[in-house]
Amino acid sequence: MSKGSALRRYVKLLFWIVATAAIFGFAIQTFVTGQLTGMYFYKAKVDGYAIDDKTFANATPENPVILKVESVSEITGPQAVPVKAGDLLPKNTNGVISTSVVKEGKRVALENDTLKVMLPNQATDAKGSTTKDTFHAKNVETNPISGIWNLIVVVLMGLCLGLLAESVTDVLGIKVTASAHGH
Amino acid sequence: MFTFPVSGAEVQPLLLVFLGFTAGMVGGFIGIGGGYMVTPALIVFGFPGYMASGIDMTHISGTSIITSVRHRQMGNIDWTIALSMVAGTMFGVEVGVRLLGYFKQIGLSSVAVLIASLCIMVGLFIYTNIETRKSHKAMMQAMKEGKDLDKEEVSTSLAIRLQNIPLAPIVRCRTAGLVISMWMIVGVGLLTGVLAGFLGVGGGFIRVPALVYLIGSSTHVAVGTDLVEIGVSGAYGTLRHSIQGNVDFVAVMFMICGAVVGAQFGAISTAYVRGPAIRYILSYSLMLASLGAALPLLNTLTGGTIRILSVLAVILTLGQMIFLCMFILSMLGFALLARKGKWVPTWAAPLLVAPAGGRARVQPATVEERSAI
Repeated sequence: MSKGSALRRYVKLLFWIVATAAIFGFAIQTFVTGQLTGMYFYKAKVDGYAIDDKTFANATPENPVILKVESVSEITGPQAVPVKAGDLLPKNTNGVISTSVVKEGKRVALENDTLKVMLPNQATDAKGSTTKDTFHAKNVETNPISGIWNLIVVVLMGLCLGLLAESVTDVLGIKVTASAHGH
Repeated sequence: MFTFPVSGAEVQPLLLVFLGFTAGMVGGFIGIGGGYMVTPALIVFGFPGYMASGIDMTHISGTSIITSVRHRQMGNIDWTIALSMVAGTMFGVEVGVRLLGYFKQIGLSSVAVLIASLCIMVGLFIYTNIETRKSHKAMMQAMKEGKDLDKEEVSTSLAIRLQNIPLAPIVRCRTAGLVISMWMIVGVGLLTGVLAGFLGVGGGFIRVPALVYLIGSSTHVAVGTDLVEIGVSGAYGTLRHSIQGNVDFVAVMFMICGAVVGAQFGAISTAYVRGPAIRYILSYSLMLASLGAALPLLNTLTGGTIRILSVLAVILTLGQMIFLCMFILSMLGFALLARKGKWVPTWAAPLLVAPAGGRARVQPATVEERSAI
């Protein structure tokens, strides 16, 4: 292997390491800043209350969790934000409890300016399997931009990782060459 | 444990990395997306069903690009076939989805899909396995007679008959080394697209055998070319699923980290084996997937009364990827042994690409043969 071609291989490897780190770094940064989940939990699909289901995960009928009903731009604790269908959701929302569920009063009940959550999960039996019905990701609309974002990022990840793998085998001297085909 | 913010599932991330690794290895070796194995595994891990499909589709579109880059380097992609098939495949998928909608209207969708996927997978397994055994037998015979083996051996002449149909435009597929009517390629794409759209899968397990038995390409080119198709259909699926809110991208990232390593093992291993070895593993993956589809169907039809069925389905779902990876690694292991001049089992020798200027040394079959050495 001549010095020139060896240098080229190392430069190529370095380039693809940097490119891969950049695309993963961008994706992780989008997740850490909440933009990724914000694209997913974008708008309310129905009239109801925007919530963060982690704030009432341990609620039971004997020990219900009380959510304060207030209009805020970011949910920071046990809060429920009234929304109409089509409204943009506040930050940290991960589900919408519909007004129909609140009116039923079996799982969630409205008491003055608070929402009492008694049954955050409900087991439902379908033929041959039991599933858990929660409020997570319920009644939310995803931002259509997320489709383009997901596609572009996953394609770039695929390209960067594929070419990174190719340059790793080049540097390691693993010969992977084109072969003849046919019957 | 990590709580995935979009899906709300609590899953050990290393499980996703491992799943991506196995899917990448199997996909890179036999040219499939692996959705019929990965989606049930994601459901078992705790992701909701609708999200499992979305995560799988998005991961497939990234992984297929990784494996396509490697297969391109290995000269296994015929761009003429790939680009001609895309239009047929996309149209076929749309027809398949509408057909599914019709079955849904008459109230038969889930049963229809399960039964149809079962029939297709069982049929393909039987045909591929029988044909591959015939080819394997022919290669073993040729080896006994001291003849040199080609990289590919196929025992069906259906493709030659289709290649002889003189329907213009006729295209020359340079990498695959064949001349065929473009309408044959588009037609195969359309047929496989309809099946894929109806079953809600990528269709690689249908397209690879179709490329080999109907178009006549070698198995290696079928694998590489199909991965390009999967990339295109995966990209479309990613867009649709993401807009529907079915994708937890954090889960995809974990899977793709595992897939990049697995895909290298899978893709590079194809350089060490002949076509029938790849078709064997494809047929066994179809057999396992058929069992994986039959068990939930039986469970549904019996109203969930036979609990052992759902347990078996879980074991099969998780075990089948590991089994296929062990099979691929064993073929790679035998090939490396052969290249070092070591003994390999008699059945494996014809399946391996011989080192330059030689052939794989076969374990002596009888005591007399062993003592004569």
